[in-house]
Amino acid sequence: MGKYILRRLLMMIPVILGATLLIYFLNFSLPGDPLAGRCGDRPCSPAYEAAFRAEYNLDQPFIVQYVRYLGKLLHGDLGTNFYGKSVAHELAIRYPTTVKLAVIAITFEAVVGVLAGILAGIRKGKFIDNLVIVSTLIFISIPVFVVGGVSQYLFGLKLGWFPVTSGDGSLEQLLLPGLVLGSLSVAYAARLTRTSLVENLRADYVRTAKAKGLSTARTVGIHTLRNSLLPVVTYIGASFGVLMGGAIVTERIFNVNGIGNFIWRSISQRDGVSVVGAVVCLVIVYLVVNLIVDILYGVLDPRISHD
Amino acid sequence: MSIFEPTNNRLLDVSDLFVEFRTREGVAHAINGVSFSLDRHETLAILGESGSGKSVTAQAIMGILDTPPGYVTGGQVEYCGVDLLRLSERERRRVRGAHISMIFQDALSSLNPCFPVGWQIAEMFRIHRGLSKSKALEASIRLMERVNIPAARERVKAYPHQFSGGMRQRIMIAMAIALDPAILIADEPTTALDVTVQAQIMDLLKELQAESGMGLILITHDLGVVANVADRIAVMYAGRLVETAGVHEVYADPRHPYTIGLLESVPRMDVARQETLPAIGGLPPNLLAMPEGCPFNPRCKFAVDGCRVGEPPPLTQLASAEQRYAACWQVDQLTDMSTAGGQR
Amino acid sequence: MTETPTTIPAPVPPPHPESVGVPYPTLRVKDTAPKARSLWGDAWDIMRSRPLFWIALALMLLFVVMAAFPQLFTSKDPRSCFLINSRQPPSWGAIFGYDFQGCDIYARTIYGARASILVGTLTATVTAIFGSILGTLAAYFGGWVDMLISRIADVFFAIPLLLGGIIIMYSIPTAPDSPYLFVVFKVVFALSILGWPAIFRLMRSSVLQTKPNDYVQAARALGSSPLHVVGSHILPNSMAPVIVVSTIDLGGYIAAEATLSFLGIGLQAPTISWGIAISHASALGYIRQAPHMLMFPAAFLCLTVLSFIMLGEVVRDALDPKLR
Repeated sequence: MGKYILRRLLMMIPVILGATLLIYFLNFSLPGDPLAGRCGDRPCSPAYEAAFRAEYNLDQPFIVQYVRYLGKLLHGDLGTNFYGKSVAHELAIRYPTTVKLAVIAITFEAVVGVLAGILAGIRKGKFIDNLVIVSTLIFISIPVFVVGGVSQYLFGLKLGWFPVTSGDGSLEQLLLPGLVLGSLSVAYAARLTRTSLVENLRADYVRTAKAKGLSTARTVGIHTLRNSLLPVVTYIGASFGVLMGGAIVTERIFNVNGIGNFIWRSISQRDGVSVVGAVVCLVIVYLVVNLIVDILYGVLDPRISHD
Repeated sequence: MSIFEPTNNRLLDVSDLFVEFRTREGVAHAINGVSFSLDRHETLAILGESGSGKSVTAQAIMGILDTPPGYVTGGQVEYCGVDLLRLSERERRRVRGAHISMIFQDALSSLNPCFPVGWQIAEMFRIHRGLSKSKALEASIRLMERVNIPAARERVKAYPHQFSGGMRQRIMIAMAIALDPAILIADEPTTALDVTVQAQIMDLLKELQAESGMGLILITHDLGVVANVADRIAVMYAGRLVETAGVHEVYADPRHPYTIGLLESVPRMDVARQETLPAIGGLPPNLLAMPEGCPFNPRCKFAVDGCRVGEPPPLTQLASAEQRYAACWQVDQLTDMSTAGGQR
Repeated sequence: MTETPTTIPAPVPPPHPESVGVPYPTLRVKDTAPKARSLWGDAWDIMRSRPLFWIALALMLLFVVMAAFPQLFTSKDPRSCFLINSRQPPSWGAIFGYDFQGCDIYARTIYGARASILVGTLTATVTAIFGSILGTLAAYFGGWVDMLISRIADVFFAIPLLLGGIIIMYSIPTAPDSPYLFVVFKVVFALSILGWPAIFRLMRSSVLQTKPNDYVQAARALGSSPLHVVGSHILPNSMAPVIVVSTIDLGGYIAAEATLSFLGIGLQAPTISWGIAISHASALGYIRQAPHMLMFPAAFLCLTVLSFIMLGEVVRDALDPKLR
């Protein structure tokens, strides 16, 4: 087990290095003015430009720039925007709201998605199965911002079931945005659970379980489900990336005061330092979450952890 | 449990069993009127190529056919005088595993990869006997020792993939005999194993049978395995029994063209070396579109015009011997011809 | 295993778990002489009997024609707007109503198809070509080539599409007067950079499955050049999953482009696109007063995405009898 975790950690290092290198390259070294679009609609003031060049060592060779940038990231320094505010600080104020939103979305995805997938899988070819297949297909096809706009209109304005916007980020106000955020992933989670369950129900060990005289409930619930949910765990980790992209959209629509809304406002104010700093932070969070999920997978699947 | 006390030596009576698979392409008649019986201490080998219906027969007896597409459409499966096909699913579950149990060909895929082997064996005691976790685990350790797994106590928490093929099959066997079943069905138990391990597993099965007196149904396509362990042989072809007889009679004097073909295709030490091993030509019939007449007729070298029309020949008792049955129109003419064929 | 007497699986290894939709050809044994049928021929027979296939195909063609020749669907100019019509609900004169600036929503929705279809098809094509070439190279040559490309793909794969898209879009500045195609290519570039590793992984595992087959080994043994072996033996037998997944992804790219435009970082006004239209319509005041501004472009966008995903899935199911 320890060996497995160590191996995953070692494999993660080149990916994190590569990803930050890639982002850094795209951000600072593409042809063109690295300061374009970093100071709103006006060109940057010479004073800010000088400070920016010094901060990111833009006059040094590329590799020095990158290593120093990496050092800053390690210290949690995501840059300072042209209002003189630290991006890390801006994110620190806002992250609790976004975490709450993400927890609602992931819970929705894990509970509703998995349950729908199980129902469809054990009733393969029946009405409920077709219902799940068709409804998930529709949800997969609707971009999050459309789901957001439509449900805000329908459930917020027309039916009045939910608050239309989220002011202070209470759970009640975050519920609808959270469900919207999870809507795409819930569909994928349901489909993956179904496929995985259907495949596992055909496995030889299910026949053994039946031959042992176990009830259908025990055969499916204990013998099949555990194996079937392994890929779903991995998917939920991967879906974290989709969720973070979706959070930008959802928080803008419902005016949730979280990291996503901060990114959107920075985009519209053309505050490039904030946009890139915040997004880099999200990418790193995503990588770490996936590392944790990978390790969790190892714990759940004896074939991996005992090798 | 009391209703399943054997009144005499007879454990299982399968009569006129029909199974069909309803697929998109049509209805496949997998089992067409199969009848046989099994006594205590007896080993019956069901022999046939893949698709002949031997595994389906076993699954129908166990009640673990995949439905849909598989349906039992007729016949009786009497265990100690009780027709299993008439029992409710709940009652049948009590028979399954406890009274009649089964082991499969590929032990690696037949064991659940996500649970320790001890847990999987212990499940038998916990579900059927209601034993506590710790007691059930103790019982599994004893069982693992009984099937000769070394260091059973240390390995009870290990997972299937950490065992060798032979050890995994031993674990399957331990699980199957956990509750002292009256009948053990072994579906190709040694096909996936090395030859030396094959012999060990067959010896283990014989040993366990001698201890408990259980009836053993051995499903195989391997005539070599059958010769050493079986008491009686039932040969299946296209969902029908084509010949049943004691093991020695079948080997010495096969009475169905298919059995003759099977035996000819086995390499033998006691016969002068031949250039090539004869094989049965052609393919097994498509169960969706059975040939008219005897299902074996397109591949049969003894077939005459009468074999190609009408109903398939029924399994009938041979005039020459009391315990012998064959399903062939030409059965009386066969003896001379096969001797002639064998001396080619 | 239940003995299913009707189909005999051909001796190919089971699909790699990463590639969900890899086809698993079966050889049907008929009572008459078995007809030689190709994988695609078989799939075509199945697809053509499914109404979903025809619905998806018809929708897809409709949107493609709409993107190419919007004039066929409307005679109105999407750019002639009169403020007097601002936020008028649907009527006989303008069946979808008018938007905030008094532009005809029907005309703008029709003309908006072009950006979506263009970004979607270009991105899907670029990722399919780029991913397939690299995947084939990695699988065919193996060794350090495989190692190098695979690790690079891992890095790109690790960055979520939308987040990476935002960074890339931000890093290549767009002047307000940049030509339409420049912005479209920028979006295509951003999505392709992040999208190719998925196709690469799929193609790599697909080729790895095809490579050990006897006919490939035979061609190599007979001295065919690698290019010929790949071109005539490996590609035709490995492309199916890539085509399927690219079709499904095409829908996803359209959604991603619309999302970027929605966030104000993709295509920008005065370009006409569904994402921009929805973004403008999503302001709370408009949703309250003029929901039609949101509903019509949103419906078109969803139907387009749906048609590609549905088509891809029908094809995948037809190629993969295992899942039926």
